[in-house]
Amino acid sequence: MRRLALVIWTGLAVTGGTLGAGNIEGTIRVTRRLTRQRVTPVVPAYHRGVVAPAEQPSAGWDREELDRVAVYLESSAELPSTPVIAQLEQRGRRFLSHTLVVPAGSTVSFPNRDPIFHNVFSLSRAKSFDLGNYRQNETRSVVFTKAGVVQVYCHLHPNMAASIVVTPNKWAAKPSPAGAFVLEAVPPGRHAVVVWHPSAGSFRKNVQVGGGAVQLDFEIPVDERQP
Amino acid sequence: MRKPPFAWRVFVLAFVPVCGVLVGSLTAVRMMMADQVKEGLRSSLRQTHEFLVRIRSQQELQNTRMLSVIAENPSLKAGFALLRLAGAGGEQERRTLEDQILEISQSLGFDLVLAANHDGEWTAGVRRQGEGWTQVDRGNVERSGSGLMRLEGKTYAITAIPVNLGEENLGALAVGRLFDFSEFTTPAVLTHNHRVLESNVPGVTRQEIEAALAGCESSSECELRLNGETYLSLPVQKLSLGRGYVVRSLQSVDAASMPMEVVMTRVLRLAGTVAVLLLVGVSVVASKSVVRPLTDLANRLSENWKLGEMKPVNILATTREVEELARAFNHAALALSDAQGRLSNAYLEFIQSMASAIDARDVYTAGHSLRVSEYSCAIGQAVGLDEHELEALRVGALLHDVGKIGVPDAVLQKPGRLTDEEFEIIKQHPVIGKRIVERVEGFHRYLPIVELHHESFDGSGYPHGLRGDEVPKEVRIVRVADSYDAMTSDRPYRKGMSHEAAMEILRQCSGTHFDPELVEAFASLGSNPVRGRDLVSLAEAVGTSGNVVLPELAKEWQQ
Repeated sequence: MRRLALVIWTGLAVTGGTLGAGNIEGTIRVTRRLTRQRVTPVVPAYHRGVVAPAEQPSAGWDREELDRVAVYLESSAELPSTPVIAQLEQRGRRFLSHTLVVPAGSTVSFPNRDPIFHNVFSLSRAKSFDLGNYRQNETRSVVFTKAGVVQVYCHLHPNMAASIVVTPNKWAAKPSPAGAFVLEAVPPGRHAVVVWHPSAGSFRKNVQVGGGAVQLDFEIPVDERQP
Repeated sequence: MRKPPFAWRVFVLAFVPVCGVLVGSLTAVRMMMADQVKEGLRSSLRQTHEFLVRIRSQQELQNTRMLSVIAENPSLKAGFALLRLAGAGGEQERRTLEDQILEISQSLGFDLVLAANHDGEWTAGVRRQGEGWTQVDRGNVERSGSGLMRLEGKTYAITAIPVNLGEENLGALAVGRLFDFSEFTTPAVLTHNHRVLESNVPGVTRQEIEAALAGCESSSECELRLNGETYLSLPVQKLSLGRGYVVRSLQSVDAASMPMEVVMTRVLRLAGTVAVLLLVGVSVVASKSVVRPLTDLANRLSENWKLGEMKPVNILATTREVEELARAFNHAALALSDAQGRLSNAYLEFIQSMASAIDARDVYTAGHSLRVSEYSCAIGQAVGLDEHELEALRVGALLHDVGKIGVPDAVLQKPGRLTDEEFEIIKQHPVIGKRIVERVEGFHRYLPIVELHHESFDGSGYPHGLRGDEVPKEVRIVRVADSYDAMTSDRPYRKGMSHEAAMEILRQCSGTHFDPELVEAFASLGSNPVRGRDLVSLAEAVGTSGNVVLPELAKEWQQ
């Protein structure tokens, strides 16, 4: 309901707008959210021969978190989407990278760069698929037509996970390591800029584009991830 | 060689067997206690084993549960399924599974994780090495199920379960812990086909244990010596370790029997010593009590023997046998003394005959021998001779002139004075008498009287001219009595002297011819020296057995 209202509202804003296209620039700052203190020791602490690592945030944690962030534009107006061909590698028993942002209609290939088998699949509403087991340097690809977040896993390796954010239009980006993002030449009108993080969720800010750049800053409180 | 006394024999026979029984029973007790100690060790080992087996099976159960959960992990199952589909050649599939196992192993507390394909071959595995993990070289892995597994010089206790997908078996998953003796409260040894793999016996190398175990059956109790100590070794039963693997726990028999040894030593020292002492005492008393009646009897007999008599002994024996012995001896003694008495009577008769013969040859000196004997006895009594000496004196005096048998009648019965030649012949009679008497057995005690009765106190006599104490006392007595009787007797050519006159002469010649002491003793007897004696004594002098040889003489003297 809320979304519907938003779409109507932005639609009104866009049609009513008379100004030219402009850039939306901004920075995303990842902050640490205070969480309940963990009192339960981690599993390895029970095991002999293993020293439980001291709990301390690694130095570049916010950069890692920024890598998971996707920024895209939502608009009530029909904005064009230009499909791309993207890659989500499996290397070192991980997906590279954690978050892939592609416009709707894009084709994503999943090359296996590990010397072991992987089995990429997703059960997400936006796109569910199972690529089956395949060996090193083999690749399989999937076309994502529907916008939405697709969670991708490996059947053989439960710890592997990645998110593919299929955006409704071509205005989508990942922030730079410093947290900066630019959505270039956004058609004038009223839009919403969405910042998405897998655990923190979506953060939405409305924006009026009409000549000139718009500055938009986000602050995302992220829970510290369990190791 | 002297024969051992009877007491010794009895002592040895009493002491040795009982001592043997004592030592034997102590040894038996000791052995039984040693057995007891071993039995105790055995049961304590068995208890330990049961405890161990329980712990092990509990661990096994826990491991199995844990494995069951892990084996249901869909990713892992997918990995197994991948391998199953790939078959033998799927190296990448194998690596995939190995990678999965590595990932799992890091969060489990085991030292070894293995995966087998559906043929039961261990195809992938990782083991803990230091801080990290390394892959297991498949070539080294034994094909086995649960139990122990040797890998890269280490021993792992393995728990394995099958991984199934529905009805289909995909393979097996196993986890292993490094085998150690942490649950063992006793020293223990792990062997595989008689080779010692692990041991926690302090201060002993595996080779030493292997050598000590060489004689042991793999699945039975065994005793072995390590470092000079004896150990009882019992294989742990009911512990599923796999083919050829045996865990033996050890218990030091020496350490366990130490308290018993101490007790036994104490018992041996105390009770043993007391028992042996007691035994010695009892044996001594027993041997004495057995032997005493015999020794008593023997002593009495030997006393008799010393006295030269065969007197009956008192029958005071405490045992029947000794009493019988004494009685038998008494019978023999009585018979013997009877015979002896008869023999001595015969002797006596012979002596009296001889005396009579002498006297009969010289009618003038009739009864001389008998009177000399009588006087001699009187003097002997006065100077305190004992019974035996008096008896010898009496018989000796009777025989003193026996040598006169060898003197011709012409000389002996010559009425007038003797010439020197004739007197020389007379002087031969003691020597002749000696020659006669020495040939008669049993008459040797009378020899001195026969031979020396003419020796004087000052050495002026004949035949040897002995003096003083050189002549025995009884001979000196006979000398006095003989002279007195010669003087007081009537002779064809003269009348006999009176007692006083004769005594006067005796006194005059006291110290020269006669022993002064004896002369004094004779004088003290009074005018009629023989009257002092009673008639019985006289009769005795004539003949002890009452067999009066010369009744007329006896009658004469009795008047």
